[in-house]
Amino acid sequence: MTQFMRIWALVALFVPSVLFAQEEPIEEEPPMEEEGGEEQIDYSQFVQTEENKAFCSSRIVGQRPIKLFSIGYDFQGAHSLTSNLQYPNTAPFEHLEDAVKDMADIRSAQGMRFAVNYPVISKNSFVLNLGVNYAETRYDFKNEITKGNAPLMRSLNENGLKSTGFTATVFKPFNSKRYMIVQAGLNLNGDFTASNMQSLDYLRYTGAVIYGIKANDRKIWGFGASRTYLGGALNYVPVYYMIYTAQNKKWGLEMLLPARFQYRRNINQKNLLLLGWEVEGNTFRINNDDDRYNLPYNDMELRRSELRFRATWEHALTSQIWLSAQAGYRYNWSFDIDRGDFFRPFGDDEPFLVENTLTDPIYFNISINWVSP
Amino acid sequence: MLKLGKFSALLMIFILASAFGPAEMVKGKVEAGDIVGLWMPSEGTAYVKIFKEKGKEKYHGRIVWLKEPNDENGNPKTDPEGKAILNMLNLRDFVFDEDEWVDGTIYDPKSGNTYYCTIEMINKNKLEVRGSLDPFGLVGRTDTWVRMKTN
Repeated sequence: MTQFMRIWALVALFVPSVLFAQEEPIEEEPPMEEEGGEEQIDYSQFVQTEENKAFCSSRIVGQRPIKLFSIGYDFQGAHSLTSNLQYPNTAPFEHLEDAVKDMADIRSAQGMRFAVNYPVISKNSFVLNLGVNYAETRYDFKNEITKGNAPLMRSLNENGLKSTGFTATVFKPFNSKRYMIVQAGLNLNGDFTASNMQSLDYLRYTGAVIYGIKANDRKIWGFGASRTYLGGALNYVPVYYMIYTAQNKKWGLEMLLPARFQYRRNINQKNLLLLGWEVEGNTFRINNDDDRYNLPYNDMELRRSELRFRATWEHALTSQIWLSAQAGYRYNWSFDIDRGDFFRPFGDDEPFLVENTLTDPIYFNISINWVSP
Repeated sequence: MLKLGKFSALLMIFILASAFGPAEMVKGKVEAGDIVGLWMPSEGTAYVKIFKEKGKEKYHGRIVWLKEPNDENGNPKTDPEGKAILNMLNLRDFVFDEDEWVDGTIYDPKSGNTYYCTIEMINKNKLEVRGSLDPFGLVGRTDTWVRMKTN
């Protein structure tokens, strides 16, 4: 069974059939006779019986549907990896300059991705979404990887990289204009497998706070700060959030800078085209338990960060099931190894334990999504 | 172990928030016809008149007033399909069951989407209107509507 067929089989299993039974918007207004008959009333003279404070919502017209459940497949084409740490010729050693370069060609790096984003509480005055996500990257090397290759290559070849996370996002409106978003995340990333799970000691925490304004039904924006691993290592960065739809509702912008930016073309109610970039990154523990790589460290972490320039087509199969097809260029920002978890700001000149070079391939990503339209 | 402790505490907070998040209903004796009247959703930009269909035990709602009835070009506001929002029927086919109105749908004229919908009455002047993607109301959004009266 091909990977593509696997995706469709999983979709068939997980997506409730009831979703396909959802009613489409009503086409024609049927005659509706009111009990008590029609009266001519000036509704502008009415007042509230009780105070009902107005709160802004987090959504604007024309924006991309929010993904509640997503299952997808990510594929990066041929590229190469050069690693400076070679085993066993120089180990154990203390300095990077003792290392020897090792280069290998990678046919592809690919894997499944799952994400769930569930609105546990969704009221006009408070929204809490809880999410879980899982992504894996399996590396297919062109030549056989042996014990003579660099430990990183052996690890990628044998186990690949996995990332699993939990997020909680709160949207708290204060009135009809002002709001705050608070997000907290826990991530467990590494070369772990189901039979050799990673200790929760390697959980990494992320977070973000944004305070902003919903200017109108076509624009929402805000400023904030985040604790993030998108650059590979732990960093604290300011963020700018904006979703905008033009007055003619044919195009818009969706961004959370610096992490992502997208120009959105609303082709029609069922088709969206998005052009832009997204940064994907995290720190992955490389397991040296039982001295498997014969190295004097067991706190190695791979700082992976990549910039993806891409075009995305989103298409409504039904009102709640959307297909997302994406293709683009993956630019490697970081694929280096540090020891432990520490703050590494942009431009930091602290040397890495191992500096690796990863060339940049074309990639594609396809997913099926259950959305809140 | 310290990190596991933090993780557990965080998880517990979210579980508790999930369990106790929704407001506690204070219910009295609710009758089917109590829902009839003029209501304002929380955004405060529209009034919806809920009425009983003549000869049937069904309740519907119509958008009868808009704070801003025209768009930026001075034309009457429309939904994505171009239908006028004012006087649009946006609540349909609710039936009264014990203490709530069920089996109906709500239409969002901004997005052009129809959702499953259930309405509960908090008191005689407040409704909780829950639109959802699924018929069980598991994935949805709850809005508080307040009754309007003549000044």
